[in-house]
Amino acid sequence: MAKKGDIFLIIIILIIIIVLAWVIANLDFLFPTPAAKTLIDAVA
Amino acid sequence: MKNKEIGILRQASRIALKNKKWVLLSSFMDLLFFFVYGFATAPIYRKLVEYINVIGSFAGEAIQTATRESRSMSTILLDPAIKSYFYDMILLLMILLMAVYVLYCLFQAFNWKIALQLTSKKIRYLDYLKRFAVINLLWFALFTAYYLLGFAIDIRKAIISAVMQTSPSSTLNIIMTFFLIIIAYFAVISYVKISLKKSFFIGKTKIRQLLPSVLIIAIYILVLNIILALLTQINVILAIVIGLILLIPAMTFARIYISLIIKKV
Repeated sequence: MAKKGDIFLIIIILIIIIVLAWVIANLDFLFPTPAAKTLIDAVA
Repeated sequence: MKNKEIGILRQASRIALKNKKWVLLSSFMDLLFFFVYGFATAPIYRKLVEYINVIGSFAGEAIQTATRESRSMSTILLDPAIKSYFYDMILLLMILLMAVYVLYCLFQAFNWKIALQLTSKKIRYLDYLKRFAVINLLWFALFTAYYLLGFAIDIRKAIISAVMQTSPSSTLNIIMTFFLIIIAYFAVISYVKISLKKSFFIGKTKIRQLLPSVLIIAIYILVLNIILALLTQINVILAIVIGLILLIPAMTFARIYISLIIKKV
């Protein structure tokens, strides 16, 4: 029979996996690629 | 090679042949690990390359601006417009590291648990996973340090080649390879002993008994690498197929063999 700690661990692992999968699936949204020219103009 | 190593090699083969289902499952998990690893990390690597390209192209412009306007490089690189991209890049690297760590722990803990189970060390997966994850915190920290140092050495080499017009010495690369071998050596022992303290003690005191076995595996992987490099020139798909056939079951076998060796020292 599963221990209380096991269930807690499984839930933690599942949360980490779901969060990581969501972040990886939404990388373009979370980290929009900067346009090189915009960046250069901003500093120049 | 000593008789003892041959005897353990035979014993490992017997165990592998007697437990085909477990060996197959372990090999499947290794294969799955490679696929999931690729799927999870490829988008992060792609993003990182995009960021590096943008910041790299900016760096060229920044050098010209700095020279023209007598501004220091650090002033430009610490400009708020650029700084945020550097922070994003560090964040991306941390996500990459975390994804690798989580996947490595989940899959490899399962495979090492199978190897330990086949060599008669019963332990529950979740119990093993917990300790495996804690032990790997140290190995991952050292591995990250290895990569960062490697990166710094590569940059140094590139600068030396460009500025001095001479080829830099490879001493640092040799030291780095040695550092990697030491990490791998102690990490493997700790996966069997499931204790950092014991692994450092055994790794240090029993090095003469353990080193030949580790060398056998290292030589196998080295030879396989050479064969695969030659095969890639002939046919890439053939190289991948043969690589998977020769590498995946060998990884399971190596884990069983190492578990046996460490148990016997």
